[in-house]
Amino acid sequence: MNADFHYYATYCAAFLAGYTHKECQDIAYSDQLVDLCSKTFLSSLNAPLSAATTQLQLELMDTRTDIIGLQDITRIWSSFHFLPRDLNADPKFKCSKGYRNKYRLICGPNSELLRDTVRLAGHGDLQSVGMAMHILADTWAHQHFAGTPSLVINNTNSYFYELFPEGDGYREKKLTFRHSVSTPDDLAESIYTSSLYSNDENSIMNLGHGRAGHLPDYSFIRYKYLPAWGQYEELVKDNPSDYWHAFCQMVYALKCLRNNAEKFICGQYDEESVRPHEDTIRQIITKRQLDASSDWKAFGENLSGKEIAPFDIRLYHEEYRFAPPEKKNETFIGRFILAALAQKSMVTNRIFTSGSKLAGYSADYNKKGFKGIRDYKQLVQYQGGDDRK
Amino acid sequence: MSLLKRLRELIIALVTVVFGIVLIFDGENGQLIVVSIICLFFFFEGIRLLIYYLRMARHMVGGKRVLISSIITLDLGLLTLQMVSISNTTILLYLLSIFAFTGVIDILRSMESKRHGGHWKVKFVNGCIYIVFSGALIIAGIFVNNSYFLVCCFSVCLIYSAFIRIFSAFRKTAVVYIQ
Repeated sequence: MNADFHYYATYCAAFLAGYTHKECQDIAYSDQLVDLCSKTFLSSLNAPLSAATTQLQLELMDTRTDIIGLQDITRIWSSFHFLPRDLNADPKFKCSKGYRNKYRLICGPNSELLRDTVRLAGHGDLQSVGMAMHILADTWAHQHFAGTPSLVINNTNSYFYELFPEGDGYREKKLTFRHSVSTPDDLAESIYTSSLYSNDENSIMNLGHGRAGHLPDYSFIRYKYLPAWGQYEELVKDNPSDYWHAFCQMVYALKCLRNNAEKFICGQYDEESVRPHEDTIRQIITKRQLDASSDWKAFGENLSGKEIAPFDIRLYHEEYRFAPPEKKNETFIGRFILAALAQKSMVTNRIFTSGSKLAGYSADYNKKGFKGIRDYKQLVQYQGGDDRK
Repeated sequence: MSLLKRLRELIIALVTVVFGIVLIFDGENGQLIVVSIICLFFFFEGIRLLIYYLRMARHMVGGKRVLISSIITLDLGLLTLQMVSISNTTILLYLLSIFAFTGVIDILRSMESKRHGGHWKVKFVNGCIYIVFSGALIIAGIFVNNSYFLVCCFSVCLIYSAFIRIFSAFRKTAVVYIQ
């Protein structure tokens, strides 16, 4: 998903869930910030680097794919962009533990981890709420790919067809992939950019949906392909349907977060609140365009009657930079950092306790005291713990 | 990282350092040793790919490609053995491509960091050094034809990567979880 959904559509969902214009802006801002809060961004603020929620392309190229580098990548991408569907899942065939651990990181909606993510956000501020919405929406868009570099899970081959509705069925058109990052996708000719093939299991080329290009990020597209893990079974991805569900689930989750996050259960969608706007939303979702921001923006402004400010990454920069150390956690970015550390800590713990070390080690503070990366002291202190323990 | 893994990283790093120093002081057989290392690298890479195919890639759509790669890599290992008699230009190009690529990436990263207002100078200088180093390799290899210089460069790389390993082995890596 791109800024159109993560920023403007989130604003709309928050407004439908009953938040005020200002609250909607903060939630949408935090949602979009997840895609921009890289180590480079954090280092410019002298903020803890462990709070990174994404990695820039060049950061990824610069990352060593040794065990520590891979665990760092997995923590970031599995926690914020590819939340695993089932950490106890087993493939239909007999396989090695290494394969199974990667298979278990495949992203999908309505997981236990999603429930925990929303409930965790219930203990936080609007920044946690926005972050949770990003994660929720991505479970729909990024499903069937894993947030760890893996050839055997994330690779795709040339069998890729775009599906166009025609009569009662669909017309198929073969998709072409190229590897030029600077060239925009050509919707008219169905030519899309994807990452290069690399036969290295842990190459960053095999991270997430890189091999399928930006297809999962476009709300209008329907396509079929052969996922690497799928044993040659064709998989049809219907993005308009997934994005509709994502939107309705966001409204439901946001309502829970306003009232009682503990009530959030998976598989629920607030279609009733969204129904009056269904035609507009479906129209935006199915419109064939690279960026639907202006349509979502117009819809949001129509809903609230207020102007939605465009996203500005430097909006809260100075507030954080010039805040005294003891007040940093009270700033917008400070709260976002705490939310990111809490989410990463929770997901890493779940992956670790499922028997996989792909996201690294998790030291339970309640059992072992503070034993781990120094950046997390901030989270411990904020939650009232003693970091000398 | 588990204690066992930290220990393993440390031992590999120390062996690499010793190996790098030996290479510098045994310049006469240096080229032969470097080619042997590359040959062994391909051989073990081929074996690794074969194991990777059996453990994981056989479940993957198009996994046979990995099997074919493993066989080709094993063959490449044997082919590299023949390189001893060939001029050191091939080795030069191999080292050069790694240095130059790392340098370019470092410079691009520093520029990106600069755009975001982050720290960039160290990385920029690092990238420039790599590129200058690549240039020196070209001069040494093509014009001076000094194989000892190449071996020294290779050793420095080995020692550098060993220190990175040591640094990684001592890093705190556990993520703290509060219930």
